[in-house]
Amino acid sequence: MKYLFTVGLGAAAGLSARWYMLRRDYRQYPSYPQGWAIHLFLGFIGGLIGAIIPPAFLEGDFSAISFLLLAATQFREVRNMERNTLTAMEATEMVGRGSGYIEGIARVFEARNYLAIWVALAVATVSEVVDPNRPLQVISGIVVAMILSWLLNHLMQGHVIGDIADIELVDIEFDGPVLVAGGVHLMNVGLPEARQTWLQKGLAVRIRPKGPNWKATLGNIGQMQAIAHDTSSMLGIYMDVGEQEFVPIVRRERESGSLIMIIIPSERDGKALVEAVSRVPVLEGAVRKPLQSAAGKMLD
Amino acid sequence: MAEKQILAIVTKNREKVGGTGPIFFADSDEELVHTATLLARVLAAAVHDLDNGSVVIVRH
Repeated sequence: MKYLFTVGLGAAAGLSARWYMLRRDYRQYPSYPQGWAIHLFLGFIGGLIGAIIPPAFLEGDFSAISFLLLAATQFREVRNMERNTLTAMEATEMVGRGSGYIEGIARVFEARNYLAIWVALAVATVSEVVDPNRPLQVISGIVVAMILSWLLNHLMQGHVIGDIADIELVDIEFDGPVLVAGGVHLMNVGLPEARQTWLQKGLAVRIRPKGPNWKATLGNIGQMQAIAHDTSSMLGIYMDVGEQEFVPIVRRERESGSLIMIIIPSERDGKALVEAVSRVPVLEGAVRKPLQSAAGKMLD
Repeated sequence: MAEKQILAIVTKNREKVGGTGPIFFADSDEELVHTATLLARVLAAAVHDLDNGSVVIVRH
């Protein structure tokens, strides 16, 4: 089996690339070995598929290549799997991720398997080029895998809220029973005790978009929910099951398109809140670019 | 957006409320708040003030 070395090297590279992308995930998901096992195994399969393609080409076995490409499309299932898992867990979250965020995460997980295939394919190709020089195969394989994994992972990183908006703290006040922050009516709090809690422990931020494109992006409901979810999971949250008056809320200022978020974090720390909000990812599905259109340009 | 629903009304003002939902009458502000709090906890719902001596218990 003269291609065994190349195939092994490529598959290992694909697996390592998948592992590298898994551990770089700040959301701490998946966090348990079961989750890791699922994704590493899928990464290994992807790596194997990518690694077998160059030898199959060299052998002129095009039916094998067709089958491999067919197998690669099966990774679509990964997206379904992630979506189903996260949607099923949604009911157990104090502050839900929202379907927009879930779709984004599911897509990222699917895409990472394709990246693993690319890395394995590149490593196997390089390995075949310098064959049969074993040390050179290993060294060039490692170099190619590292560069490509870093590059692809780097390119895959989207924006975060801090890139597209300015974030500042604003005061919470009450207009009768209505909670007002930054001039926006956020919600009606009926119980005096709850109003006191908001005034003492609550924090509010204004997220002001840096341009019309980002204004449209921030207006996405999925994006608003993602901000509430991620901030609560980073800072912790002061509420019990069923205490709906303490749920973090994100609302839009009609005039400027800014978002106002109110939240009662576990600890009242304004700086930490601004930092947390600035690190929330901008969802792929929320990105809007009205300025790219003729009509949008006329308005600007 | 989830379906919102008024589960109950607590009021001091008998003239201002009506309809088919559960209505609880209170004689003072304290009683109003107390009843509303208890109901909100039981129903896992939020209390919203209508600013006319009535509050509604709403599930979001």
